[in-house]
Amino acid sequence: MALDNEYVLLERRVLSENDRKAQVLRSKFTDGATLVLNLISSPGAGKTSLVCKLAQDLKQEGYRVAVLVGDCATDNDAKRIAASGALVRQIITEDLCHLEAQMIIDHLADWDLAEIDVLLIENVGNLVCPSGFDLGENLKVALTSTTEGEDKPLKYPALFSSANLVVITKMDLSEICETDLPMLVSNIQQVNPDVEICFTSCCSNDGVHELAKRLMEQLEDLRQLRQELLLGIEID
Amino acid sequence: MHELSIARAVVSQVVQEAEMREMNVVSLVVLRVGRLSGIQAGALKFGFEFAVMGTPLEGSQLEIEEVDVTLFCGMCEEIRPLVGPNDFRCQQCGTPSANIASGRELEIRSFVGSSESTLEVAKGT
Repeated sequence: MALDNEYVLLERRVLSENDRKAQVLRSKFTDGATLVLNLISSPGAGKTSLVCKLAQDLKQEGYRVAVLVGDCATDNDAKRIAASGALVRQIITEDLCHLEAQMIIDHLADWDLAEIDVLLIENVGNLVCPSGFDLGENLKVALTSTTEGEDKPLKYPALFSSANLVVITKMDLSEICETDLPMLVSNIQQVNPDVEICFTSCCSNDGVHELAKRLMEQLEDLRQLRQELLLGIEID
Repeated sequence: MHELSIARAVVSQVVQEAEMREMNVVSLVVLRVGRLSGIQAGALKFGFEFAVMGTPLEGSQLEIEEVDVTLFCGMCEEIRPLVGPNDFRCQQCGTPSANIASGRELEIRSFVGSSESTLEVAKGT
């Protein structure tokens, strides 16, 4: 005999489990004073090239860089990035279209965050799915290349509206592709009015060092904040 | 496109909640899906049909409430609709705003379930 139907009000985020794990990661990153970037773009926008260049630049400045790189298949990107001298580990998602917090937990494994200043997480090339999954990062970075046209930010507002930083890549090709840069910038600002926008070219290296410097400043802020927190605890 | 894994996450959480309440049949699940969540309602419904198989949710109805995007306008000091889709400016005064008040939701709002006596279930199996 079936009993009466019962109505249950749950009001719970579907990805609450991922959010909880991301929170665990976030506090680990804070403890280690590690600056973490989650780089998201379409396939071929230049995430791996930018990661290589950033890793080299930061390393030259004396920072310790680690990279987690997500792909549906192959460890080609990890091999490319390893040449930059960064600590690198490939995450093979076996066709899953995005990275989740648990994968980051699993792949950090024995890495000591206290020994890592900047962790670059290169997400699976996809403009839709990764945007909903918090990885505990400080900065969600959306990349769009000059070869992709001007309206990507309008077509994929879920990502571009939630990014903390937008990088326009392949600046060296903007003339050949007749990219309307003011239009691209205006489209980004239309979905995310206050977001910071950087311009890079991994061929000419233009803008790479500026972006790396921006990250160093962010890292110093993070360290200072952590120091203040620690002092606060001691005073208590 | 990962609506099937989202559907699976919904099903596993509802199953867990239903079991805690000793329910073994769920007849309705209500989700709230924001238009900025990156999730498409049609694809989610399609995925749900597969995800429920062999669970207490099999045969249940999925209701999706779509949530419009709104932003907090610093000028009006109010939550306002957008000028247009993907145009993140206050509909009232046109001021751009990155403070999204709604539209990113992806949540299980509620479900309806019932329990049959264990005797009945035992007979049925």
